[in-house]
Amino acid sequence: MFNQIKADYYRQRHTWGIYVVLVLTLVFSSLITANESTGGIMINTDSMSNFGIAHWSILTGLKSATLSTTVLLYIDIAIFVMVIGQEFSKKVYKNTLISGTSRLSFIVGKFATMLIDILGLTFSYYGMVMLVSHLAGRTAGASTLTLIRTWGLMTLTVAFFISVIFSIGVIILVTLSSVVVAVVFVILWPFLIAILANFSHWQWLKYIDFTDVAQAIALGTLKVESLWPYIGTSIGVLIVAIVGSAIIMQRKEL
Amino acid sequence: MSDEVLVIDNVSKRFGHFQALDRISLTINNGDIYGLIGENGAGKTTLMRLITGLSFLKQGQITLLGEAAGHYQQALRRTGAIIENPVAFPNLTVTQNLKLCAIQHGISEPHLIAETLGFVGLSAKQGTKAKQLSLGQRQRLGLALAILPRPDFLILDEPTNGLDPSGIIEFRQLIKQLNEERHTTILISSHILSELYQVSSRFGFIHQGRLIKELTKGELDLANQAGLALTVDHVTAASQVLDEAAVGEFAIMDEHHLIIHHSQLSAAAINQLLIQKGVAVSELVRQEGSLEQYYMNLVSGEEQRHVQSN
Repeated sequence: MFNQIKADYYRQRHTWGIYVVLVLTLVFSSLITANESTGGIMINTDSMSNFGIAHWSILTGLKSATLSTTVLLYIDIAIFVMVIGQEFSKKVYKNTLISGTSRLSFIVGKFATMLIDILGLTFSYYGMVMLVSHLAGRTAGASTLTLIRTWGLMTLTVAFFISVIFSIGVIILVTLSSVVVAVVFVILWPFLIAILANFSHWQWLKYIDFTDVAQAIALGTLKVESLWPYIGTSIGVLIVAIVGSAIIMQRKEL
Repeated sequence: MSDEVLVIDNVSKRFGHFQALDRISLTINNGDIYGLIGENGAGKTTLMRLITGLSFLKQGQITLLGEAAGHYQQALRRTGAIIENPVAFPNLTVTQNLKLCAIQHGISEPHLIAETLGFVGLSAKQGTKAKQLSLGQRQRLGLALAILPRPDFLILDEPTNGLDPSGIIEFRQLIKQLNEERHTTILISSHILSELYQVSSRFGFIHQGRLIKELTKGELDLANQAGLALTVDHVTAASQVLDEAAVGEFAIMDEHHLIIHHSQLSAAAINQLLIQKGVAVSELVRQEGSLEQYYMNLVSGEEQRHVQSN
């Protein structure tokens, strides 16, 4: 599995797509921070109004950037396509599987690669917020330790929940062998959950609205201590998606 | 290494109502170049996909390099394969694709990549992206990816597809070299039977999902002796005439065909003899042995048996 992850990173280093994704992430982060603009997909105006204060601090920038991470999800779809989508569209996974890598190692390796990529990109995203805010001469708004803690917490939370959505995308990709369907699913997931929640008022939907958790923390409507049901649900989804994908690959004509 | 590299025991595979493989059993021994022969859809690729685990084995047992299918630990690491089409990352160069393969296999010897490129004749294309390679060059890249980890066993599904005549000759030499110099055991399928004949040491004939014949190259050569092939109206009557006249060694192929392997009599004399005894001879040809002919005879015999049994 480690060899496969190493091979994936070798491939990424030689693919311009990863650099485009990094530049897009940094440009997006710089723009929203420099212009003090808040916005994302499926973000309500009440949430956005919390950031309509006269002058942003670095901390406001970090929290505001979290509201825009739905856009980050869409930028990161390129990672999904590069890391695992291309394997299926070009059927290159055959080379890996014939080399003796087990299905579970293959899926876990791909998931780990995506998670590391997303962590790195999200870390850079918030890092750019800090940098641009600092260059704009904004006040910290909190102690350095608090800023670093917020940076780390937001990075982990956003990257983790994006990777959970991608894990569901993986099982769809493996089942249907269609990158298009898997990508469309990843794109539609936040919309579907939000629409369903609006109509049904099912409370449990909040546990699978993976894009909403980091935003709720940023807005202070969800305390870190109350995160566990969300994390538990997500870990359950991850296990089902990873093991399920491996089992489907074992049984499927590849 | 034990003598048996691959043992396939009673393997069947069904896709819906279609029986792709029907109780196939065969053994490939160390050092063999095993030529798998059969028409499109006969089950060759399905069998290779089952061996490499790309298809799920439900019926029968496959033992590869001493390990049972479904529980391979090291067997696939010692196996190289091109199944259906060779695949590579299109935007990576030839060398980058091989480097990727080397990382996956934990190969650290840097000279191996250059050596493998030289072996398959792709050194001049090492900096070319895989998507810019011709079909023949892609086949070579596929072979390079398959042999880079120095496998003990190599599975090649129609490897000469898309190659020009000189490419086919070079590919044949590569296969022989791998077998003779690196002692690689090879399972190969091809629809170019003359090619398969030239490289293989053993043959397995698959027809409609069943292994209908297995034989060595020596046995094939014996069965394929040049002779006089006759098409007659009644093969029983014709054989009686030939037997009584002691024309020499002959074999009955089916109800209307027989081959006289050795005879002191000329073709004209045999023809006259049969006609005099009331046997109608519709065709009489001097036949040189070939794998194609053997295959066609085998398949037509098999189909007749199938028709009769129904």
